Amino acid sequence: MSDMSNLETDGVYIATDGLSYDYNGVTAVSKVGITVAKGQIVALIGANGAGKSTTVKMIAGALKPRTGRVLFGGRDITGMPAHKVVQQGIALVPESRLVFRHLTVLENLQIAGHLPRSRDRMKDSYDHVFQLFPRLYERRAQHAGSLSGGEQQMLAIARGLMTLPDVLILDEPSLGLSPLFVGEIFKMIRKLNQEGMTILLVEQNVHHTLAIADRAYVLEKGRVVRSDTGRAMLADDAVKKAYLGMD
Amino acid sequence: MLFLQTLVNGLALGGLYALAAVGFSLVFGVLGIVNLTHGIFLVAGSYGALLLWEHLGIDPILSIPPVAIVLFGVGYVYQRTIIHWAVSRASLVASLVVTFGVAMIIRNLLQLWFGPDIRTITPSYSFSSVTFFDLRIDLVRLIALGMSLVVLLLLTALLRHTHFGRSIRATAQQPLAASLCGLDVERLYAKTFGLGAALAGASGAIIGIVQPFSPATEAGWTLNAFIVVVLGGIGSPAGALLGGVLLGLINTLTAQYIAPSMTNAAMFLVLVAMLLFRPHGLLGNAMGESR
Amino acid sequence: MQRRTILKSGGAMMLAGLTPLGAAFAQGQEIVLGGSVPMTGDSAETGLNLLRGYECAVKFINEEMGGVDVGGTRYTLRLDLFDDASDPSRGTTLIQRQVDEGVNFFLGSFPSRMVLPTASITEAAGRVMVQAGGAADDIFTQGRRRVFGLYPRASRQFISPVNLFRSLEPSVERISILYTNSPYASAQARGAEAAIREAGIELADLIELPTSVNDVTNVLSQIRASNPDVLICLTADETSILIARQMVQTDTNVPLLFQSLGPQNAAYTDALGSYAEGVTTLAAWSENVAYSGNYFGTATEFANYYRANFDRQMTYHMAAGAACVCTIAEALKTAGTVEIDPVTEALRNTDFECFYGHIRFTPEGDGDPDLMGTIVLQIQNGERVVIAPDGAKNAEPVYPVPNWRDRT
Repeated sequence: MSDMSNLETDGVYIATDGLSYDYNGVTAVSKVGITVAKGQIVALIGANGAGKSTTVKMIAGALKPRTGRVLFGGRDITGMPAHKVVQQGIALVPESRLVFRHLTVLENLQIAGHLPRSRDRMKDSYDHVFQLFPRLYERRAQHAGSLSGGEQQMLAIARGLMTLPDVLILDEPSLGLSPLFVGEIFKMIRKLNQEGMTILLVEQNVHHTLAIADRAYVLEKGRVVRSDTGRAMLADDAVKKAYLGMD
Repeated sequence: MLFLQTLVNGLALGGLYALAAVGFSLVFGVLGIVNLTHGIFLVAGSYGALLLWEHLGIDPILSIPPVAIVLFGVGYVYQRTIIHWAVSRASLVASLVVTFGVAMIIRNLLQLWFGPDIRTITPSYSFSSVTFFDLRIDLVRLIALGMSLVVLLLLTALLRHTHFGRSIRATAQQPLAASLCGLDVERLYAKTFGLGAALAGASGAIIGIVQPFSPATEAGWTLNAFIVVVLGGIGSPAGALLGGVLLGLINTLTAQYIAPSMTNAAMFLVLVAMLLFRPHGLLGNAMGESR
Repeated sequence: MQRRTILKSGGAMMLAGLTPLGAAFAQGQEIVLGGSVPMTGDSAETGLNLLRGYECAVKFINEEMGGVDVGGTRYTLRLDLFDDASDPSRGTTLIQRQVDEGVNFFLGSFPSRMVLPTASITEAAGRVMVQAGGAADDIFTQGRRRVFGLYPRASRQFISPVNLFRSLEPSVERISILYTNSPYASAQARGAEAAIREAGIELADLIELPTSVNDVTNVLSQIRASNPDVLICLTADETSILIARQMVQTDTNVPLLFQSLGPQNAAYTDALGSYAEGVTTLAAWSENVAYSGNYFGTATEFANYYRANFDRQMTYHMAAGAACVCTIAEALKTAGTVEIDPVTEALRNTDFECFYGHIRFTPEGDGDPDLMGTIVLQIQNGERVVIAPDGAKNAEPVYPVPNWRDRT
């Protein structure tokens, strides 16, 4: 408990304490504690199956933790269902994008923009996301299923932004994209952060990620094994060896 | 002329089949549940219209809104309780068994309340017909066709142009992403189920003026709905309309040019052919790829 | 071996749960009449009619006649009937169970497709069935020796209506037939066809319909084209209403509409109102017939007793059902024993008159077509009057019946 009171300090947005999750009795995440401060980019890195996605799904309410707590701006949101968490101001852009393929680009955005917290400013939100992704504006009347992978990723992020979140969680945004798009996505993440958005980033593209992260956590087999600033980790030989494939 | 008359009859019948199936199709497309209670909702709609007609003298067409509203509530609660328990504790397949069981129970309850006797609703216009040149069609069937098209168009508009409609479609395709966008997926499932029941009730009120009904007729309507979905495709009013009209035409054309007793055989022949060659129906699953 | 025993006793226990122990045996002073009727499902309407008939006769015999005198011992009758929901597999399973439990005398289900499989089981077990729910020829022509039916077999039911058609003025030249694809209606249709051809009347159409029908507009266009003097519909209640209604809607007029099932019931007149005027139908019985006998007295007295004790609107099914029970009671009395073989013999030689008519069976077990043949009813001024045969009629037929538009 004393730990938690430490975490509830000014500027800390998201804090988790002792989060654990099992899939059919197999431990996926064990006692994970991370903090995200306002205005930061915080990264979760680690190998496939390390428990990164499971952790952010628990934060966003898509999974119910077995044990542990999730605090958001000091409020306990543990176990709150996903549709209520997003209303609180946390938007998760899920792994593999999950756009509504049979809805048009515009309809995808409309759905997300209809939240009580974002409804009144829907027009501004459109302007914002179309300015950020002019390509989506060109394709607004097309079915989302007809977009390229990169465009679908843009749409997924734009859809998250339509909810006017305080924190944007991006789960593997660069997965399966061409190098050109990967660069664009990271540029966009940095830009959003400069506009004031707090970002929790789950990535396998460790090099790009650490370059922009204020803070990073390394997950291994469901546990946090290391945390430090992005810069410090990028300089760390052990991290380099394990995740960047450099000797 | 005989051919034209046959086509007109097939269309009129098809409109009725389409409306009777669209609620089933919606629930199947969005929740992935084959709702074997569908025919019960439909027959309940017929009995609702009958009660309003006998006791208050309300025309069956005007009784569509109250009947639909009551059935919406019934469907909503039914999904939130029994269906939800079955699906969350077992599987989607369990819903098949559960809805079948509930259908049997309610059919018997209807027989207790209303008796097994055949009932009809006969407003003043039920014995009239309309004639164009040599083409003749019953007024009730014409009204039923018109009402079916109106309801299907309203449903299309609802699904296309309202937030509720978009939410239903989004939830059908990606329940996880829908909840991350702030949609209460469980409640949407219940509302969709309620909508399906309301549509069944509305079609029941209309069918009540077209043909005799009894609690026992429910199973036939569930079967018809299933065939319409297999023919036309899942989850969309357009698919239901296409499937319904095809079924109507198969019925009347077979009856006219082969033999009236062969209609069921022809229907199942086409059904088997569709399942072999286009198992998702002519228009596919409008609700998307998630199931 | 052991498992089978357990299963069997388990079955017996389950049955004991359904029916009080000993119910299945003719122990003490009680004779059990087993069997099934559809109390739910498609055929429940007629099934419940039959059931009330059975109940009515058992009540009368036990309460008003003090039971049945069998060789000096008084037995009361007890019904042990279950709901077969018009499902043959359910019916046969439960009938087999009653057979295993030792029930000797069975009443029948409805319709023929239920009677045929259940009667096959009682026949194979050497038990007796008396029924008024099936008249398909197959029930009687496949060599069964212990199955008796009050109705003449389907193919012989049209002798009386065709005699009526032949007597009408202006003369009937052409007849069309619509019939449902079911064992009973098919046999009826073959019988009607034969009787019509024998009478030298032209058969304009012979159209088979599926068991469930949603629309007959097309068939009616064909009827308008062939323009018969009489349209015969051998269809279930629901289809009969549908046909009549669509005839009105499409203004398909025939001088005489004859529907085998439907017009007997209140649902038909409720649905059609004044359009039901002039429609004719078959019936096995009417409370206007002039028969009487030991049980209940006259036909009218039966009807009065029934109405005083039961709510459900009376049709001929109640009378037929009650007559089945009376027939068994009479055979028990004649045999003077509850042993199956003498009772079967007594049933074969049945020859007595009661409110229902003069009961006598053919060697194949169906009702004697001359004594127990069908009567023809016509709806006149809202009443169902008897218009044929000549010996039973209490009104003259209306023919030709006015066009639909003139029936208000």
